[in-house]
Amino acid sequence: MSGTHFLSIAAVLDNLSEIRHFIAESTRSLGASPSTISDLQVAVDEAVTNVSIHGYGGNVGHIELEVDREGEDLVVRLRDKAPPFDPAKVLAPKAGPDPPRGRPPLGVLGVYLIKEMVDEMRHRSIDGGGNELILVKREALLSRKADAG
Amino acid sequence: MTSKLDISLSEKRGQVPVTVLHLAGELDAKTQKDLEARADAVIAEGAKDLILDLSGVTYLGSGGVRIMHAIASRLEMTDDEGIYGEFVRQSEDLSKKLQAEESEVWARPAHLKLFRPSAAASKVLQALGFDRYFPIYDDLDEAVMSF
Repeated sequence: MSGTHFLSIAAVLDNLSEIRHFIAESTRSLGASPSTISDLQVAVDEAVTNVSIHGYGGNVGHIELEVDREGEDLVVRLRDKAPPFDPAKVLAPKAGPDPPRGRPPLGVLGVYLIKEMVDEMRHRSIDGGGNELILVKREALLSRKADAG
Repeated sequence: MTSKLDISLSEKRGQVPVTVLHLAGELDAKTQKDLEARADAVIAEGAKDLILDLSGVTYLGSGGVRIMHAIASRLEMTDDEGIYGEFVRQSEDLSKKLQAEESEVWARPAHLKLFRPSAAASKVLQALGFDRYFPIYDDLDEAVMSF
């Protein structure tokens, strides 16, 4: 039920399915609910897609994924070696007419979706280059802990 | 393990001919171009009204939603009376058409409908607010007759 789950893999679109599979297996083994599992699959898929397309600009680079529990929270860390990029800053006000309330501009759907699927998204630049994106589902393992009693 | 999306096609007849693309599998950044290519092909062959059957979609990412929006936009551009008609009438210049396609026009599409999104697809459509943009049907006959 415990222990860190780790995957190091090329951040390429060919690997998205395998990455989603890893997230499902690792979070399930930590006791996440099906809804939490699918939320994290979406969030991680979008983050890796961004790293592949924008971070590495179509070149092949690696990404490390680490899944662990922190108390009752479920935490996924993604580390890459791409140029510094904080996705939270993507949601700057967009020029032009605003879309109707509740719909994000088409250009930032991915980042918007990540923020919708997790409770917290943090970014930090790694010393020596690269990015760490931290995605948190708060109290996602609460019922599991109660069950274990 | 690479993402896999199967796309099959059926033709329906309501008040007008309607093409249904049945999607089964994962619609992510890897496979979205498969959907785009297939939709482009049927539009090039003359299809004017499309239904996307999302009942078999096991995964939907933002790229898939963006492609659905692009398909809806292309179908509108083939309709002189549609939301892009004004752009097309103003200019036959391709760059203007592309500009129209990329502009964020949020009128609900008249020529692309969604049929029975799976739970995975519904969750993402709702999270992005696109459940209020695309007309969504639970009954295929009703969807066909809506055109």
